[in-house]
Amino acid sequence: MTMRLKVFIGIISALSIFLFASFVRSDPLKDAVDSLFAQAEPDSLKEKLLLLGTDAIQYIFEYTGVSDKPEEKLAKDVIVSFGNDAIPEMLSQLRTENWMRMWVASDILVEIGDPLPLEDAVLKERREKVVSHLLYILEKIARPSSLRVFRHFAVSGNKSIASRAISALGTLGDTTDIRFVLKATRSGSPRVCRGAYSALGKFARRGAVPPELVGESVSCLVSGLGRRHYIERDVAVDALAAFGDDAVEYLEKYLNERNFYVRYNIVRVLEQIGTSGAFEVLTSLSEDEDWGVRWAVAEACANADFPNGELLLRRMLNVEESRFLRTRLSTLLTEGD
Amino acid sequence: MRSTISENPRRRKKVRGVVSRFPFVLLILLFTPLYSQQVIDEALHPVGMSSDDIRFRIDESPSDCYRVSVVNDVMESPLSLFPLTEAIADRLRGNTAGEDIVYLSSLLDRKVRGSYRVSISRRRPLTNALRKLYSGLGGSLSDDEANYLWDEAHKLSIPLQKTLAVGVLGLAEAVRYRNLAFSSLTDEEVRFLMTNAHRLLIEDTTTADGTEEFFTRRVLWISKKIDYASLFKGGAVLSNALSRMVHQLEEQGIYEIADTVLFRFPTPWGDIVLGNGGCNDYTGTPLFLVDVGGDDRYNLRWRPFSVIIDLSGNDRYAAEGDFSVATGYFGYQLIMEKSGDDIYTGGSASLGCGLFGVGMLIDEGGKDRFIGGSFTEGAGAFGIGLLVSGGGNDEYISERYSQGFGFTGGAGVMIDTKGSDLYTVGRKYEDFREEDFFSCLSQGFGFGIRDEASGGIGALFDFAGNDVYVGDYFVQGASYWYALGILYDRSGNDRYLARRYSQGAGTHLTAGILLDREGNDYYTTWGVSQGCGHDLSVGMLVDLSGNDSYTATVLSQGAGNDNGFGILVDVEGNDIYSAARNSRVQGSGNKMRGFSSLGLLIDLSGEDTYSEGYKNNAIYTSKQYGVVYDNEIKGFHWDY
Repeated sequence: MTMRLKVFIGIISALSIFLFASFVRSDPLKDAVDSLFAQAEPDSLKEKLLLLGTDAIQYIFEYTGVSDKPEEKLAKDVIVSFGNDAIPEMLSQLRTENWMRMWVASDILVEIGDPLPLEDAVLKERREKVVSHLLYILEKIARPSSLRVFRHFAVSGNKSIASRAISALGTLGDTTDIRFVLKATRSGSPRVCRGAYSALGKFARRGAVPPELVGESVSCLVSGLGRRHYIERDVAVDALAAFGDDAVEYLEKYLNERNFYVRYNIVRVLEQIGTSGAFEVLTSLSEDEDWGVRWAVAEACANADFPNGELLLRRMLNVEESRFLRTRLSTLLTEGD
Repeated sequence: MRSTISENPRRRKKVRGVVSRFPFVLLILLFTPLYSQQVIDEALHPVGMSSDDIRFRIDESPSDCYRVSVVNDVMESPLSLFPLTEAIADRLRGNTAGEDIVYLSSLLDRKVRGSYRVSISRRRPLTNALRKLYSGLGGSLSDDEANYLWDEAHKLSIPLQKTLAVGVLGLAEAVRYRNLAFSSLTDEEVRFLMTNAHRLLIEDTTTADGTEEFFTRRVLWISKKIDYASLFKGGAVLSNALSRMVHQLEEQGIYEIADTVLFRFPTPWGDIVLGNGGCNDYTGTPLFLVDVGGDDRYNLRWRPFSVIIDLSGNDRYAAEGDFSVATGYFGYQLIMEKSGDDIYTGGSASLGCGLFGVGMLIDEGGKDRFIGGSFTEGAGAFGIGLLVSGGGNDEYISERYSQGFGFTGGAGVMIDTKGSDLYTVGRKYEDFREEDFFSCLSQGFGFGIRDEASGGIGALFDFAGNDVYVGDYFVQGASYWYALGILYDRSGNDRYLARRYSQGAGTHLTAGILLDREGNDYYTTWGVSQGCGHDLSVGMLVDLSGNDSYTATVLSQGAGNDNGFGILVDVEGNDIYSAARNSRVQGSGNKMRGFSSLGLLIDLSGEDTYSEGYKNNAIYTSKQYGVVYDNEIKGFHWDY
């Protein structure tokens, strides 16, 4: 090792020790926060902590947590009360990438509710975990100003980030984004598809899907019902259910679909829609060749409040071949009584 | 009765057609075991799922250099957890400790390459072996020492010299590998690890000023530079050499000749001693000691390298402080007890633990008692800890991180081959969730640092006897954060007592299994247990035979929570499932992040009783997704 290298390593070590020493040194503000939390007077504690000013936020934050203790709640409330002044410190807590700090800081930022500083921050951010949390926060705050951020990340090469951003587009419900979302449902990435299905459901819940796009949306979501993994299927079921009766006429076209999952999950969608129109389609599926689909129909009859549900269950019991399903039908009918 | 697996009309027609044309196919079908995939597919069919759906996407959280491929494999195919456990148990059963270390290294993706046998020199074997050991430890034999050694060695027969030389050379080689493992670290980095690494596991040092994160991240950053394959190879070479040496000693009838100290040679790193069949008191830690008999007492302190072979007698081992008694801490310690009823009392980091090293405690016979603190009794972190006990009814007592505990970068394994044993852990670190119940993380527990570093492999294997396992939080085949926890009990009527996150439980992107092969077993817990997967995790409890009783209160007995998979499979016997009503038990799931979890309870034979009122030979489903599948199936075979 050369002398220069040794000197360099020596300087770096000394700097690290200095930095560490300054990191753990005693601070009067920290002592003040500690002593206030040590006092057993929660009533006046909040006011006293606020009087310490914004420099105390970093120390107050150390008393937050995720176990719902009164002390943790109080610390969180105090930080929220600082409003926008607390945002820089919360952003630095997010950047620690410590899961507990990130969760707490996220909750606080949502409660503060100002998206603008966060939008600027997320566009400059490079770390996936931090971006993901900021997108989550902005979606919770749900202000139109965040659209530019969601659109920016919706085309990200990082599929996890893109999925979250696409899903958030649905929360804001700007109809100009629907075509982009429909395109995203055809992505090769299951994760992006999941985000797109979720977004379509959110658009539908807001009534933001134009009538001319309902058919295409349903078609895209039906392809999600038949996907290989249940995660996408689950998200597509919820999204389709959000279309309500509008979806039923389109779903009828898929009753003879070869893919078992499509037929099975159409039953789940119809159960959630729960209308008489949905029940009619459900009745046709009660004669499906697959006992799994018939099982889903039976459960749907029992769970949803269809006026003729019990009748259908009895009819199914009379002709059912599967011993498992026969037992189940009997149980459901007995429970109904 | 054979299962009604062909409920699917299409498949049924096809089978009928084939059978009518080829009668012998019927015979084949009758004698073909029913594979788990078919059973699970049938069980999941009513909820619109199949066994293909039981998989996680391992990119849910970014990977890190400590993620072991076996954990990734299990996360991608959680149903493979059962055959993997069987395979590991088969490999570890009857192996030598050296083979165990090699196998565990490969499970940690640190494959030990090349031979791990030592070759002694023909001339002056013991002297040359000691010279090599001195050189590895950073010293050299002076002329006086060499002369003294020459005189002492001459008192021994040539075969005995050669035998001892095998062990000493094994230690010398291990020292060389240990030096190689840490060669990329600066002295300051090694000092930092030695001063701070224990903060991760031994002490409760949670601070409110963020210093803990600073230490943790620096420890993780430095520890990446260690050459673990070399570190583990040293452990394998050492234990292999010692097994060979002990075998040769036994062949030479050392028991009969050793009634006095045959050989003693002091070194700056501890004494090298052979002998004495009497009752001895050993204080401090020897570098290399072979005691051939008598009831001995050992009072041990930490040294980076130490070997103790005690061939017989009822011995007592006591730790003078933490990090002693078979503790591989920046090196290797091995204790091998061939017989006798022994008592081991360790502090924290003791009794077969490895922290940046390999620690092995092998007790081959007798009725033994092991008492440890935290990180003990088969515990590994950035290293391997191994505790093997054969024969006798043993008792294991500890406080936390023990009895088969694997932390980041490590594997902690405990193997008990015979006897009815008692495993107890707890009574010290109260869990913040509940008064008077304790955080244990033991009895086959894998543990990682959430969002920072994936966990390791913690496994407890008990091959015989009616055993009792007692713990509270995080015990008995469970894990946390990209880790693997295994509790495997091969036979006997066992009792499992726990409180929460236990008995085949995974908590936060991880996998845990409790596998009990035989016996009438009794499982009791409060919740999040008995085949429970919480937050993108899999928890599996598999009991292959016997009339078993399962008792829990909430979220147990095949329960999935927050996108987890919880699976309980009981293959044979008349079983009783008892739990609080409507409290998410016996096949229960929920929905989170827009998609479901899966709770699956499968019982494949017998007259069973369910507190939820379920009948035999029936399927029950609940939304998002819960399944109870009770069927009479013979010849069940797990095929993943």
